[in-house]
Amino acid sequence: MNKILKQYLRDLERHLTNIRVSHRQPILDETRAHLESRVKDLQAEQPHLSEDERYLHATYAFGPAEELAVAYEGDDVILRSSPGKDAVDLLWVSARSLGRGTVAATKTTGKILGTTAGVILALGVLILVMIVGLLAIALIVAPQLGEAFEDEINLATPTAIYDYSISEHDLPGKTDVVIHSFEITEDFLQARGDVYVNTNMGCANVQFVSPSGTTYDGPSTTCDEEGFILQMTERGVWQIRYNVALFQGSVHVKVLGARSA
Amino acid sequence: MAEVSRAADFLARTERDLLGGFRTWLVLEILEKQGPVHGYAVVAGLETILGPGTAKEGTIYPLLSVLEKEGLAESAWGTDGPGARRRYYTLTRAGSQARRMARMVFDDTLTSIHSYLERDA
Repeated sequence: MNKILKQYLRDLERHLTNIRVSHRQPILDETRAHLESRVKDLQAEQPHLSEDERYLHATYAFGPAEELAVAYEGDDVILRSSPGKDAVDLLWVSARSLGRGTVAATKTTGKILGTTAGVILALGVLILVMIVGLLAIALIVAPQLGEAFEDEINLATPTAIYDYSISEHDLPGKTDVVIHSFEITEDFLQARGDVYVNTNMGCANVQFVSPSGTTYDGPSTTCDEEGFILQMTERGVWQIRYNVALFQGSVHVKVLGARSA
Repeated sequence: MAEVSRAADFLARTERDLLGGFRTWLVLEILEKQGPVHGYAVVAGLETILGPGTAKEGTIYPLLSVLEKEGLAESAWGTDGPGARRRYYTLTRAGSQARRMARMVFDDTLTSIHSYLERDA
């Protein structure tokens, strides 16, 4: 890859930090495709330019990476402002004003009464107000932080939707069909089924049946199947069928889902 | 000299505002006429209509992204041979409807403006 293109994409990626992780790579891919097309056209239009000059021309016409990132942020940010954040701001401003007011009242009260009791009373009120304020902020800010980093957390830890293992001791030594069900809910952006079959004897065939009724077999429906991976795009209740015939061995199936790509 | 500068500023601002307003509608028109089409072709189409360099090319992509999120356009990844993969955009039914309505607004507005200018003259 040309070094100017590489630098531009790196710069863009650096500015896309507020964009969801799953949306960054498609943006970079699309930008790269555009710049490469522009450079190709420039090669025909202005053959006297060097490759670096063509990339400089193309990236300039595309616009500054920072401005582009800001334009993308318009409708896709992780750390977005929300009514909850506004409430936190309002609470903070209120607490600060109240605190200042109480401090002023403390001084005034102290002057008027000229007694230690007045000052202690006012200080007690100030401490109480601060505790209430901190509690309220903690209650609102904690969920906000959780929401803000939800994408990264989900990306880092895929959820096990279905996990099942059977061995030769558990399986009936005869022709049989074992059927299980599991649900892939709408909030999963990606789901994948991994099937591992270790056959000592007999036959085990694993099939997934999608919510719309489509049946997915592994690459082989015969007994020499070792396993397969299935990208599961449909959402809803899936069925998994273990068709075993005099099988001895083990089967392990795991369906993992990620709420971010 | 200052008057010329003020007029030039006004012209630049007006041109930017006018073209900015046209741009979204024209992108819908390009998607309708040429779709499925990738972003680079959308930029080329806009340059054919509005002239080269009327906007930074990169700004089309966030606009396409917004159209997609609003359900007016949809996209699918594909390739044109070697090189980076491309995303191809088409209008949805809602997008076609929005395009027709935008066209009607444009026609009506232009007719009203012409009518007013001719009467005034």
